[in-house]
Amino acid sequence: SFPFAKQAASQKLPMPRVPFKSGSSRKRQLSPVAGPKAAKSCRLQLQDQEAAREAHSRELLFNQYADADGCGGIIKAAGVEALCRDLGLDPADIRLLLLAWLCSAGEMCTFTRDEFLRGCQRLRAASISRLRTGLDDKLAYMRCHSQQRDKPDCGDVNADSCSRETEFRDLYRWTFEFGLEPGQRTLPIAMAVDLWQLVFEARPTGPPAILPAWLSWLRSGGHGVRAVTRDTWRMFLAFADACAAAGGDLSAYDQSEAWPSLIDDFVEAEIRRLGQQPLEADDACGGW
Amino acid sequence: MSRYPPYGGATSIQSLNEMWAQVKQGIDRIYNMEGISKPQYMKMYTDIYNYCTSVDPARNCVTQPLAKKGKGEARGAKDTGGGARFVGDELYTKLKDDLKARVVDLKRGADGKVGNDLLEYFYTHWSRFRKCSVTVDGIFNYLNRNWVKRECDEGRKNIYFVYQLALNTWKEHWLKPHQAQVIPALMSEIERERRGENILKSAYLKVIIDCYVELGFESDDGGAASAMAASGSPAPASGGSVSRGGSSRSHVGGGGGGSGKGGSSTDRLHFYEEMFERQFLDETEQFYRVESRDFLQQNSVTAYLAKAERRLEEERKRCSDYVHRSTEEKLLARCMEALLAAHLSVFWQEFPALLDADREQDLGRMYRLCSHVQQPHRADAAGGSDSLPVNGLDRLVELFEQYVADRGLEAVKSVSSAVLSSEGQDAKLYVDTILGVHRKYYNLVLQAFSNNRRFVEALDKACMKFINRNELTKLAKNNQKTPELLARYSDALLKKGSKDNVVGDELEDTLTHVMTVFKYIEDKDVFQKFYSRFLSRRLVYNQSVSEDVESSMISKLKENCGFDYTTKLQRMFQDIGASRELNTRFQDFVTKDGAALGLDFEIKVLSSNAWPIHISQGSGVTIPSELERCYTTFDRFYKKTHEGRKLQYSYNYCRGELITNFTKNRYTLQVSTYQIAVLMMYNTETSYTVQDIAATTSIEPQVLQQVLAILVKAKLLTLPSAEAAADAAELAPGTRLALNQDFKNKRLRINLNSQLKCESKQEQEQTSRLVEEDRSYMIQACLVRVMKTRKEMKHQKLVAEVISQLSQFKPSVQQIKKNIDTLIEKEYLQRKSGERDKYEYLA
Repeated sequence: SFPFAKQAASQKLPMPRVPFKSGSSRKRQLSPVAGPKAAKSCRLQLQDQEAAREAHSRELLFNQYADADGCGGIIKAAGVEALCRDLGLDPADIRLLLLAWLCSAGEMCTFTRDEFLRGCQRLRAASISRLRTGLDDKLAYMRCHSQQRDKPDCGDVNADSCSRETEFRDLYRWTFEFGLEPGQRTLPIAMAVDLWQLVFEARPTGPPAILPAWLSWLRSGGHGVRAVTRDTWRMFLAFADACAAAGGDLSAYDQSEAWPSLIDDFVEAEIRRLGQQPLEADDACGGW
Repeated sequence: MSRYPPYGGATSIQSLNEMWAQVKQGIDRIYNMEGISKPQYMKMYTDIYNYCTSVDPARNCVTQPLAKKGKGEARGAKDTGGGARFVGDELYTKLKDDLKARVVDLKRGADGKVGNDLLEYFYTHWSRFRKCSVTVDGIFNYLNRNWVKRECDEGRKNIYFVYQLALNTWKEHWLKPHQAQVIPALMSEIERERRGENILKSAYLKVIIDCYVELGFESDDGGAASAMAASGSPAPASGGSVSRGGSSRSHVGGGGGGSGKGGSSTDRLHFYEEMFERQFLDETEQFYRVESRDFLQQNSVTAYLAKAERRLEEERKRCSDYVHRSTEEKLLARCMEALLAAHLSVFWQEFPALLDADREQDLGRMYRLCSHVQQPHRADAAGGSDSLPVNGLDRLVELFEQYVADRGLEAVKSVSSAVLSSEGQDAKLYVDTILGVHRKYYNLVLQAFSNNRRFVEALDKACMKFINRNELTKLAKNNQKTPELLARYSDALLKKGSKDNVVGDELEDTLTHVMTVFKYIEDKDVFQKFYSRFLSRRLVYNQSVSEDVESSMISKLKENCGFDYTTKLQRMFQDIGASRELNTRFQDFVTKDGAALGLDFEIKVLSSNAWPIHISQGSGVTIPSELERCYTTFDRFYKKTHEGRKLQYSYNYCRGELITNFTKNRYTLQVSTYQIAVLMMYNTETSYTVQDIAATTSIEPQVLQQVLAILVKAKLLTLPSAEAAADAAELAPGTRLALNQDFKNKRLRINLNSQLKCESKQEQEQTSRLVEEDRSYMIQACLVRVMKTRKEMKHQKLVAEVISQLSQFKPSVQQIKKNIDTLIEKEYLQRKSGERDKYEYLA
């Protein structure tokens, strides 16, 4: 149940190679100049730098994927599928989540016109290839750790990493809302696990160390909970940070603090699990 | 009276030796106890007056400032002056030397005396000397009032009022030289008294010890004299008081003025404290240290306690007998130190044994003695036991709590299997066991520990411990077993025809005991659930012993847990009352309607939210046609008056009576609705298969099995002979059941209505589920209530607040957290942004 997996799962076709992966397309987006490319899926030649012109091309891009029968135009499951294919991305790729986030999409597998145009504008993309590069760059930007920065335009390193962290938090919060079925207030465990797995790929500092244990505990179902609440989703980020700050040592965790009870339960189970392992090892040794 | 001599220096100087010779004679007589007559006394007084006032005026022209004070004196003082000073000085010196000679003489008489002899000598001569000195002081009153006073006012050292001069002379020339003998003599006397031997009269000791107090007026640095300088006390007052023994005290006592009084009084005691008290206290402590150690080695702790108590009493008496009262506090403190504080650990060791042996008196004594020990115990003095708590009672309270809890657990353990295994669980045995333990130690606290608050608390804590968690709850694997059993017990008490029934005041008392246990129960809500279930059954089946007792019990609960706790219970009573009325109206309705029902019909309409009655699945039954009309008529009647209400029939709570027409005797059968449905079938035919019955009555097979089993057991229905022998646990669908035409029973009324098994089990489960649900609601309500007033609150404070507000049960932190999660989810609360452990209330 990846965000876009419903459609992709049925379609085992190999993803088409992205045709334009050349260096030129990876240039900074600040220059609006687009190379004279004839994208396979794009029928428009971008020769103009005018915004109106670009807007028009985005419009056309949208129309290309919008369901034919959708009045007012909306990209639905099939459209998203096609979009993925053209972008050369797995539906479960983090970059698609980023796209949805930049579009401020309210629902999975759906882009309204406004959403899609907003996203393209933010990525300064008016073609599928520009969209792809835009997403690649966005991801690179999000992931980029301050130490690795060598570009001159990155400005103050700290302020930069700080703003990237803020952006990530925004993405994280939005992801929960995005994952909700319409009318629901909680995220089913399976969906939550997938989204957690995915969203941390865009984190500057990478996925937290505690994440695998947390996800496997959630998958194990030992908690007797069917869905994750918004509060738990939000607090997990703080919990992961607190864990990292404590060097992954759960014994410092205080049950009487204001953590959601699901996290309490996890820590209890995890401590028990970690406590058992050495015991079992001892037993094994004793056997020898 | 002799005339006042004219003023003249020559006369005065000349007459000193003459005058002194005469006065000395008088003084001799006084000190020899020969007595002087009034005229003699007056003569001496006048001589001294004349002598002192015969001053050469030329020698003095300075007006004494202090002379202004008394009006009567003013002129005289003006006339006297520097000459008088000179003259007074000479007279004073003569007197001083004379007194010294006398005292030295007396001292010589005591030389070589020790022990009792010395003390007796001291007593005799001191009392005499003191008495005589009062008289002498009177004779020299004029000197006192003028010369001595003035000298003191001017700050001259070592000048005393005559009486004090005498005392001081005694102190310097008698007491101090003999101090080394007097004190040991006193100590050995006191020790002998402590050993129970005969001693000198304690009055002797009192006089001698008082001597130390009285002689304290003057420290060697002349403190009293300077104190006198500050004194503004008018001369006549001091003159008048000289005649009494206490006079010297009033002289000095007034010295510092109002505020200085306390200070000067401790000054006064300083001599006593230094010379006598310190050693006395040391000796006392030493004595008791040795005695208590030896005594404890040879005797039991209880004997020791009795002795210690006696000893303390003796010492208290000693203080009132002959030791100065200021010593009492210090003395008792030292005695307690030696007698009690040093042996606390021994007492503590003995304490459980005393509890075991129910030694109420000894326990009381130990409590009284230990409660005296308040100061931190000096570790060095105890010899080894050094980590002792501050207060003597602390440990006793601790031990007591532990002991009671242990006894409680033991007592419960000894009955727990009997309680659980007996039919219907012997709640009475359990509650009685608990009460037995409680009553025993409650009385003990009352009798032995004079209902001390801390012991009461310890008892409460101990009871809480063993009542809520014990062997029985462990055995039953249910921590909420106690409230359940207590509710069962109260049901047994309040239900008609139960074996535990008692009546009248005794019932009221027993219910009070139930409340005693109730107070200790943590899960009060569980009790409430069970209680309301039992109450509902009592009310529905009219089984209550008395409505008054029921409501008194409810008001007891209300008193304990508040209005909310009993609302539902009270509502149940209202419903029953309303139903009574409803039935009368229904009868009227039926009569008016002219549609006779053909049977007595009574119904109770109960509001579903107050009653723990549930319409369980599979409790349905097809009502026999004979009854059908009752229901439809009532439905009609009720809908007319109460529109919009929905009636649901709880057949599993219904009962009826059937009368047998087929037998010789007319038996009345008390039966359930199910049984009615089955038995009415036999009006048409005398034999049915189980299958037939199930089809006609549409009773759930599981229920039907039990219904039929009872009827078969009562021999109303008979199995075919082949299957009767088999006595199968379950009746096969094809089994044919025939009406027993020869039914016979000893009684004419037969109760066949016993509760169905599956039902009671269901009820139990439902009750515990309800408890959990209600707890969640209560926690949430409490959280919202708190947050609504505080608007913002830290997590831990909120949790603590909720725990303190919920009195009916102890919520776990986890439970509270779960409910906080729920409330965040329901958007009653939210986390304050930026502060992880703070919540905000969302209006």
